[in-house]
Amino acid sequence: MNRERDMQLSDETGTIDDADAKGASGERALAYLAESRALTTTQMEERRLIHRDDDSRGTADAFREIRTRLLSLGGVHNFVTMVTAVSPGSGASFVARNLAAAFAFDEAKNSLLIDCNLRYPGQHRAFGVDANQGGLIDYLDHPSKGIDRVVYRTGVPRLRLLPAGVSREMSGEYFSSFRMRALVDSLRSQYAERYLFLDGPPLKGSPDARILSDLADFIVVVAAYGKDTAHSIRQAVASLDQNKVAGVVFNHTP
Amino acid sequence: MSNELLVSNELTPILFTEARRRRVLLVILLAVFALAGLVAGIFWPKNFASSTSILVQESNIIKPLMEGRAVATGNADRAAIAREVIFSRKILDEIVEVGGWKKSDPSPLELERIIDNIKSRITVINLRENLIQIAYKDSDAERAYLVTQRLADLFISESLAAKERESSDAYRFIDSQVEIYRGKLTDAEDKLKAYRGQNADARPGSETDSNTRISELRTQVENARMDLMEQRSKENALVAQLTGESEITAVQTREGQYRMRLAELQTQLDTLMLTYTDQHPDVIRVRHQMQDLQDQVKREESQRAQRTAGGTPAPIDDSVQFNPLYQELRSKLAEVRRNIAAQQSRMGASESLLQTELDRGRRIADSENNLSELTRDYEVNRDIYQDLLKRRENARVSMNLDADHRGLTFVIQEPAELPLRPSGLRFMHFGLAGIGAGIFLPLALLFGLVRFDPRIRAASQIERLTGIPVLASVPMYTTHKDRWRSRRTTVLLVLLVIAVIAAYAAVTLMKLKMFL
Repeated sequence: MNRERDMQLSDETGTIDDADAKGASGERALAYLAESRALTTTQMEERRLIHRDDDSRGTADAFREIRTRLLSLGGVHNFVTMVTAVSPGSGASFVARNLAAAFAFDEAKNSLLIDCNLRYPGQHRAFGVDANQGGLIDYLDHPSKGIDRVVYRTGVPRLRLLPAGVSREMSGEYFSSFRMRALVDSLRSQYAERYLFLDGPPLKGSPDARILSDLADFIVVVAAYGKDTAHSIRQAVASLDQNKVAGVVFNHTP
Repeated sequence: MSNELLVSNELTPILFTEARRRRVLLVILLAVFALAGLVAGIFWPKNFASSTSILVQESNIIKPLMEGRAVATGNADRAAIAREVIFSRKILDEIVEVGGWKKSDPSPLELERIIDNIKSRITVINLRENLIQIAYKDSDAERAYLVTQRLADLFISESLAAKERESSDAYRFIDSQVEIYRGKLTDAEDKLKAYRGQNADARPGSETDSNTRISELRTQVENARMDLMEQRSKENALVAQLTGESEITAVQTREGQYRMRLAELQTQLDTLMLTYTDQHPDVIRVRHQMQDLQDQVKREESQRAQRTAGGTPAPIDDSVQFNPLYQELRSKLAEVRRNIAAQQSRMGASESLLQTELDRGRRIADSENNLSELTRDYEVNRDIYQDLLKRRENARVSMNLDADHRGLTFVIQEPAELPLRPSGLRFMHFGLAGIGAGIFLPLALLFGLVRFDPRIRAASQIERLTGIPVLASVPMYTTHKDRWRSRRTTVLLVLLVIAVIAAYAAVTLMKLKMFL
């Protein structure tokens, strides 16, 4: 398996830079998302990412299970999944990251994680990505700069990250904007095998997550161990579109 | 709320999970409690208790012998009395001396505090009716022993002295009263004697005597009067009889005899005439005889007429004599008159005696008031004096009883002993309590948290309580570093527990060594 990946990596080395440079001609290369600087197992562990070693098998299996459930719900088409927490600190970003990684396990699929937690963005830090080219907000403010430059490699094959960029308080207005919707649509429709994951803000305390949920096909609600009561979970889920709610992920946070 | 609680099969695994997650806190709590117990056990002041019990026997043998003679002091609550005795300043001062508190030469204020402190550590209780227990607690075993022993001794000697003092006081008081009453009695006696010297009649019983005499004399007078009356009536009767009786009686005169013969002859004639005629010789003879007799009667009559005419009263006839009844009556009358005279003189004497006696009675009545007052005084004083004399003897016996310590005896039933082991809470108790609290309190807190905290701790709860499907339960993501850190924490906790155990072992060993 490693060997195969290495071969892929060697094939794809430098493609992203080329794609950035070439613009539309780079689309092809993007279809075979590969990593020039693939992360080692230790690095994956540091980033709290599931990997194929035995050490994280329990966690990886859980995410595979979620992937399977979502795929069975989603049918043949790719879809947009929003991951949101009932309350802050429940590990929604961890779940979103690893769910995206679980999709990326499948070589026939690739995943794009969009950090929509505009108030406290953290995915770029978690991946160790230097988001010097800006992120989602920068793109929405200045769409003319192009989307490709704010989509970063993560070191995980077939998993790209669109970081939040500069942090903003008024995220709801961005999520409900036409440009945001157009962005998500275009990103999804760009590749048939691309699955989008929105790492949303927590449901409790702000309406941003509900606004963002309009853009998603499925919503995964994260409840943390010993953090939320049944009542608060019920209340949080009730505020969402029931048809979109795929279910709850019960996360054992440290 | 209730349906948010855990069902029982979820509870146990969650308990374990929580225990693992919070193991640092749990073990630290255990260590803190256990060490706190250890420290408390070490520094808790040791208390040595010594006790002694005293059997109080009150005149057990002597009591029946002295029944009613000596009055024993009754006491209901011996412990209360004992407490009074023991907490007296005199005894406590001696205890301060015995306990060695005087060595530091305390100021009066400090001494007061020391005494209060000692008082609070002394307990006196009634074990049974006659058994008093005196107990004393101290941080020093030997001092506890000495103080308890001294307390018992002091209590006994002080009680006996008090009893002795009490009964000799009683004796002295009664004795002084006896003296007072003897003086009063002598006084009354003297007064009575003086009064009697002045009034001869003022003697006990003289009134009765005089009354008896008066009534006796009155009876005599009455009897004399009755006798006199009787004699008088006799006299009258005799006088009456005398007047009815003639001085002399004519028993038979010749004339009478003639007439009687004549009457007889007439009767004879009458009888003859029934059968015979006048010519019958008998009839003629009778008639002749009658004629003779009539002639003689005529002679006699003429003689008497002559004698009467001559005036000679003397008995004309030989057959005339004095009347004997008349004589007798006359002598009786004379006797009666003699008696009357005697009776009259006796009555006069009696009456004069009665008069004298009545006068004396009046004098006695006059002196009676004074006399009875003096006598009353005398008698009252005499009674009280006699009673007091008796009582003084009782008191003397009681006093002697107490002086010989026979009225109240104290037997030390159980002497004070040197306490070898401290009483009350000991190191072991604190240690066990500390460990117990260290184990059970955190566990109880944990159980309470898991049982009553409504926050969800099991994936199955979500589906059960909200009806929302659970996609997956994501286990905790642990990196090598996490695992290593967790292991290091566990090792540290184990070391902490071992350290606590070692601390206990060390202290226990030290304690054992101290006892050996």
